[in-house]
Amino acid sequence: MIRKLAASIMLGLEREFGWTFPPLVILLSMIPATAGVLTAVMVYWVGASAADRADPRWVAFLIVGASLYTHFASYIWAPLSAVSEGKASYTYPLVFISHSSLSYIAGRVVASFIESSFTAVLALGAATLAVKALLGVTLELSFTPLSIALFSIGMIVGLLAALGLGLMLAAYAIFVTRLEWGLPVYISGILMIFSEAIFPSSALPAPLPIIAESLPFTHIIRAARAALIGPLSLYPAEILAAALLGFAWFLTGLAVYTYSEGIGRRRGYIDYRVV
Amino acid sequence: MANVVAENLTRVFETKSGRLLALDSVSFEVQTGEVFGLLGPNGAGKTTLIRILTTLLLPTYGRALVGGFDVVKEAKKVRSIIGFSSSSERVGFDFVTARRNLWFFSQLYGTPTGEANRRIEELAALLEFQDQLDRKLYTLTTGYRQRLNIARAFINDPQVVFFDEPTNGMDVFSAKKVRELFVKEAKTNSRTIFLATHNMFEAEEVCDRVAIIDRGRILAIDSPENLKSSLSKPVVLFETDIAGASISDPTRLDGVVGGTIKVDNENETAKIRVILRDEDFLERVLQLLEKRGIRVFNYQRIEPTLEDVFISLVGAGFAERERGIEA
Repeated sequence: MIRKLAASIMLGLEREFGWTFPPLVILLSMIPATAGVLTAVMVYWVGASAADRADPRWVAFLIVGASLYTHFASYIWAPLSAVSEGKASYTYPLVFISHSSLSYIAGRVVASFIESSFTAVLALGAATLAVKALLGVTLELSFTPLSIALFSIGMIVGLLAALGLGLMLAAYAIFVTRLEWGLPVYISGILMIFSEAIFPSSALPAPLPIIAESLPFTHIIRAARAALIGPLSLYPAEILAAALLGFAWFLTGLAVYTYSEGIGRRRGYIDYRVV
Repeated sequence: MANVVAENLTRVFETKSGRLLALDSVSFEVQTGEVFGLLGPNGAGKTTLIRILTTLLLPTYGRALVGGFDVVKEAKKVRSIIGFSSSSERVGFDFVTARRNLWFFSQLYGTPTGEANRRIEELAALLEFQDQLDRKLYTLTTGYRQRLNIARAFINDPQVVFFDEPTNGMDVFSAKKVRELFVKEAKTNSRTIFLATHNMFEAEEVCDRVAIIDRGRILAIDSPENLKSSLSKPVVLFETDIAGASISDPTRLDGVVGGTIKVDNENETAKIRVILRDEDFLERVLQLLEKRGIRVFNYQRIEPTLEDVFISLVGAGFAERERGIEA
């Protein structure tokens, strides 16, 4: 199991970085991430300044939330890609035959998580510097060893939740012969609205905040804000909620994926080509 | 010892146009160290059978054992002892080297890295692509990609190796290497090689036994020599002018059990290969051709091939079968 997982992570990393010079991959993937974060900040700043209500604390809120959101959005699709691309290149059926599909999907998620983490952290730093340079605002973000460690724990807890969601998307990819490549965008869009990435869930009309509370990503973003902006006292409850919900999502994803593999084998979809 | 056993294996697909019987009560046994060929036209059921035996697909009815393990109830055990390669030339991860591709699959089977590296070198040497090992997959030519694909099927030291049209589209030299490897692995390392092909030459050259399959049913199983010698009917090749192309179905000629036609448009000739009910019908066929205005340049009785065995069983050749011409 460990050997399979490690090999899948290494292969995933080679796939993520292997198409060109690796630092260039990081640099290129930083561009949309930073641009996304800065766009959210600028929209807020222009609107709030017009109303004479611009508040640097909301900018910090946006930067942390949007950075983490771009992080999740860029790697939750890894399982979908592993299965759908794998069906096109016939690697997925071979992985299935080797009885390693779960390790393989998990490995691809971890590889994508590593790449995305670099991007998210760099986007966070770049956006902070850009806000200072462009708006002349110094953000009250705490970058201490403790806050960075707590922020990193949040990202790792998010990995389990993302794997759960990813397994559900992978289950979908088993059945389709014509893949809707826009699916990750739709999912990301839903996450953006409900995960408190750019506005608090309390701004949503009832009963929609319930959806936000059931998403592990919401609690991870809140925990990250507690670590970097404060108050730190909110962190334990949020990270615990994120871990519990993430585990529940993971178990659900595992059950859905395992069931789909069984149905896929019965109906002959495992090695069906995807276009 | 039987390494692959199929008992009344049946697979039905539910399609929009109704039920499709892809495999119909297929039964056979394949022994350890045997190169076993599954010969039939496209759509005969070869791939469906391999998909079931490699645990990619469940049978509708019947039972199959690989290495003594049930493909339905003990799929995990089956997977640990098999290798598989399909004819797809795109198999593998493009942005990763050939060596890394092979290493990755070896790790999925839990092979220690040292052992995996030794096997990679050994297989690359056997298939003569050592100098390609450190190139990324997308830079390899089709022939090398296919050789890599074959090597990958052996990377986990499997007891049974399944190949689906392994040399399809492969250059002559690569195909020869692959066939040599099949025989060596079966005879030296006692592996069972299960080969689905529509390549008659390949089946004759490497297979100890061949099962002829058509429309999901196995029509005959024996060694290529025995299958050919069992064909007691005369096989005759007529070389005609282009008018010979007008015969769409040779079985409509009186006394012909089955046959194939190959048209050479460039030279405006046709080769009509027929299996006659018996020798007495030769004159009758010649008269019929003449009556239809077809000029016969030459005719001769020829040695039967496996396709002739197929033709004698179903009335049409592979190409005609694939086009849907009924016997």
